[in-house]
Amino acid sequence: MSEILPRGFVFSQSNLQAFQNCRFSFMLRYIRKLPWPSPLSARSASFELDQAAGSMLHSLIHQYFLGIDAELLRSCAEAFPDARVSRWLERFLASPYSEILPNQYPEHSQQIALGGNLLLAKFDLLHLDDDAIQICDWKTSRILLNRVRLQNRIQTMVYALVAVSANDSKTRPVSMYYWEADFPDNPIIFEFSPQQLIDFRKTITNLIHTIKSLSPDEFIRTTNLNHCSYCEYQTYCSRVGIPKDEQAYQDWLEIGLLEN
Amino acid sequence: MSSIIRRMIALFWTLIAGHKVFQHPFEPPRFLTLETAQYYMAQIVDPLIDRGHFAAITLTRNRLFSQLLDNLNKSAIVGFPHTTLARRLKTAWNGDASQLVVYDDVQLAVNAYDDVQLAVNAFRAYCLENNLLDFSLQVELFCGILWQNNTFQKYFQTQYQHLIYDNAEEDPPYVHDIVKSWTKNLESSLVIMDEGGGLRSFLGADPISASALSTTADIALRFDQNFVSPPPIQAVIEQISSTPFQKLPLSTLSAALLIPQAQPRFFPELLYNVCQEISELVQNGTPAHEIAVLSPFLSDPLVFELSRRLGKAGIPVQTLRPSLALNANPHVQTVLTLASLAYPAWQMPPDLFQTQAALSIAIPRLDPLRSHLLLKQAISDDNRVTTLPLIEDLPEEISVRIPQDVAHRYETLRSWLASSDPDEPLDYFISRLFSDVLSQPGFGFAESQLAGEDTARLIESYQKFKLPLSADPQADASFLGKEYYRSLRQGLLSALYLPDDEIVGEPGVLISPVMTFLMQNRPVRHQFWLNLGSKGWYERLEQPLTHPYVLNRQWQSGKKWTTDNEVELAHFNLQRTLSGLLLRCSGQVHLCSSTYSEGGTEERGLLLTWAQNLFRSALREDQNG
Ligand code: SF4
Repeated sequence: MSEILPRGFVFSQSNLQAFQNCRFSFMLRYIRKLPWPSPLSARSASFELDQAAGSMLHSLIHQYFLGIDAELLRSCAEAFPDARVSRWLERFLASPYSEILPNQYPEHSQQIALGGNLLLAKFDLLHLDDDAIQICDWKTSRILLNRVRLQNRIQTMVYALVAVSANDSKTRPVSMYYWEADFPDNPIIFEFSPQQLIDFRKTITNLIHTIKSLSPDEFIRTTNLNHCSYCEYQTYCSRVGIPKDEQAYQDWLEIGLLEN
Repeated sequence: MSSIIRRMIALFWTLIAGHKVFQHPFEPPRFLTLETAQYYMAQIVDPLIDRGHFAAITLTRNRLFSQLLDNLNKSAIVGFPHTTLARRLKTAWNGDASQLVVYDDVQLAVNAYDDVQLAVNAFRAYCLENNLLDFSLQVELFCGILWQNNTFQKYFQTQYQHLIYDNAEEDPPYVHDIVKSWTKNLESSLVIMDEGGGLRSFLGADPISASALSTTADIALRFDQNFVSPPPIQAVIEQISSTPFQKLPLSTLSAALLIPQAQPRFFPELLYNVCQEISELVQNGTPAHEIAVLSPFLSDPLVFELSRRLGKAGIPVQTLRPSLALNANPHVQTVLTLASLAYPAWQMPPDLFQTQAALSIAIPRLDPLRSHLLLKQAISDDNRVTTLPLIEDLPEEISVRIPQDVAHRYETLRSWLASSDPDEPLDYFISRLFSDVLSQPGFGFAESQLAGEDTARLIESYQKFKLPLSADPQADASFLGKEYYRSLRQGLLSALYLPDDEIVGEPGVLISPVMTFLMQNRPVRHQFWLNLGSKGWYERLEQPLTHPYVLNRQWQSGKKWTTDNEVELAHFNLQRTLSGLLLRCSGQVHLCSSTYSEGGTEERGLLLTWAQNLFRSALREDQNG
C-alpha cells in the first residue's frame, strides 16, 4: 500500500476524475498540492466566465430550495453580469425539477466508508422519498453531453454508490437526473439496476485500490493529450495539449466547479 | 467563524439584497480581503490627506489604513456603531499628547480622532454604494440580518446537530453571542476554553466574554492538573502568579531555567552557542522535535542562520512557512519588472538596477555587469528604463562582450516583450511570459519548481486583487494591472499570506515566534528563549489611531486609559506569556541573552529583570542558608 496519500484523504468524484484523466495531475494536485501557473488565454477567459455563471446558477437553485422567494432570485439573476444566468434560472423555474417536495436536500454532501477509504459525494439535490431516491445534477455545458459517456462517468458512479450506501436504500430504487440548463427539454435520466450498483462499487473500489497501490513514479503522465488541454501543469510537463477538446474542457470545468 | 460568515453571506445574498442596505442590492457582493480593503481605504483617505486631514500623523500609509480598518472591525466584533468610534477613543484618551508619540499637541490628537471618524464613515458609505464587503461589514450583515432571519435559521440549524467549539478565549465577543444563541437548538455542544489564554486580545479576543458561556452550560468542568511540566517548572509557574514576590530555592530554579556560564557579547556568538547546546541535546538522545527556539519576533536572517547552522550539524529544522514577500521575492520582482516594461501605459518604468537584476534572473548567464552595460544605452535622465535596447543597436565594444547564446536569449525576451499586447490582462501576460519564455531551457525559471510556485502565487495574488475591482465598468485590463503594480510598490500588498501558520519541514527543531508556538498548543522538552530584552514579550503594538483595550466590551465607558493601565497591561501580558510557555514545557527552559541584542542595542526589559531578580534572590538565599 502506498503511504503517499495525505492522512485522512477523502476520495471524491473530482479527484477520481482527475486521476482517470491523468495520474500525474492527481499526484501534483492532490498529493504534492503544487501551485503552478495555469496557461491562460482567450480560451480560458470563457472558461472563467463559464465557471462563474455555472456557480451562480447553482447558488440560485440552492437558495430556491432553501425557500428564498423566486422573485428575489430573479432580481439577482438579472443583475448578474452574464445574461445566461437569468435565462437558465427561468428555464429551471419552468421545469418539473423546480417542484418543492418534502425531504429534498440541496447542495448536500454525504460520505461513506468504502473498503476502509472515505468517499464523498456533493449532490446538487438529493431527494429521499419513502420509496425512491432521486439525485439531480444541474449542468451548464455548452454542448449536450453524450448519454453513454455520462453513464460511464466517475460522477454518475460515485453519486449512485454514495446515495445507496449512505441512505440504506437497498429496497428503494435510485435514479439520477442530469438537467442541462441550455438543453432543458433533454434531461438525461438513469435508473440504476442492482447489478449496475454492484458494478459501480467494484469499479470505484478498484480505482481507489489502484491509486493506493502506486509508488510515486507510477503516477505517470497521460498519453492522451486531450487531457492536457486545460490542465494547469502544461508548462511543468512541457505539454500543450490539443485545444478545443470539449470533453476535456467539461472535465476540468467540473473539477474546478466542485472544488470551489 | 469568519469563513462561515463569508460563505453564508455569499449563499444568502438574495436575502440580504431584500433588505436594501446597498445601493445596488441585487448586484453580486464584492468581498474584500485585508489588502483590497486597504486599497479602497486608500481611495478614500488619500484625498483627505491632500485636504490636510491626518496632518499630525507620522505613520506609513499602510499602517494608517490598517488602523482605520481595525477600528471598523472592532466596532463590528465588539458590537457598537462605527459612528461612535471617535467619541469612544476621545473619551478614553487621558489628554497627554506625549502618550501618543505621533501628535505634536493635544488639539491635533483630538483632530486625528475626528479624522478617523470622517474616514471610516466615508469608507462605509463607499462600500454600501459599491457592494464592497470588508470584514466589518460582513460581520454586521451576518449578525444583524442573516442570524435574525427565519429562512436562514431554518437552514443553518439543520446543517449541524452537534458543536465542538475549542479555543473560545481566542475569539471576539460576537462569536460568543452567536455560539450562545446557536447552542440552544443543538443536540449537544461542547465549549472548551483555556483560562490562561486570550493571547489574541489585541485582535479583539475576549476571554471574559468566552467564560460567560459557561453560565449557560448544563455542566461546567474545570481541569487544573498539569500533566506536562515537571515540578521545578511548576514552581516557576506558581512564582510568576504570586504576589508579593516569592523566592525560589536555587536548586529548583536551576533545574527549571538554564542560564549560560558566561554571557556572550554579541548576537551571532549567542546563536553559535544555542546551536552547540541543541547539538549536544540531540547527541545525548533528545529528539529534535522536542526542542523549540522561540522569540517574540523572528527576523529572516535569524531563521536563516539558525536553520543553516543546525542543518550543517545534520539536525532537521521546522519553521513557519514564510509568507511570500512580494516586494522582496526575486521571481516576483523579475516578472513584475518585465511587466512594467511591457505596459508603458502604466507609466511606471523600472529603474536601472531593478531592470538589471530582473534581466540577470531571467537570463542566468547575463550577469549584472553585462546587463548594466547593455541597459546603460537605454536609460532616461532619471535613471529609468523605458524599453530594452536592441542588441544590434549597441556599440560594437559592448555587443562583443555578450556571448552569442546570451544575446540570443536576450533578443528572444526583448522581442517577446515588445510584441506583447498592452491590453492583455496582467495574469494572462504573466502566464504567457512564464510558459513562452522564462520556463524555457536556458532561461532563469527553467526546471525551477520554486520559480513556478512563486509565479503561480503571484497570479493568484493578482486575481484576488482584481476580483472586487473588476466589477467596475471603467476597470479595464490595463487599469487593473496598473493599480495592482502601484499598490504593490506602495506597500499595500506587501506579502502574500499562505495558509495560516503553516509549519514546513520534517519533524525537527521548531523555530517559531512565541505567539505562534503558544497557539499551536504543543509541549516540547526544551525551549530556547531568544531576544529576552525585546519589548515584544509584553508590550502592545504602537497603534495611535485605535485601541484594542478601549474598543472592547470589557472597557468601562467614560474611563481614561492611563500610563498605569499601560504598565499593568505589560506585566499582565508578560505573566500570561511566560505561564503559557512554561505550561508547554516538559523539561527545561534555556534563557539565551547576549550583552548586545540582535538589533545591536543593550539587552534590558521586564523579562530580563524578572529573570535576574529571581536568580539573585535565589543565590542570596542559597548563600545565607
Ligand atoms: S499537462 Fe498533461 S500530462 Fe501533465 S499533468 Fe496535466 S494532464 Fe497530466
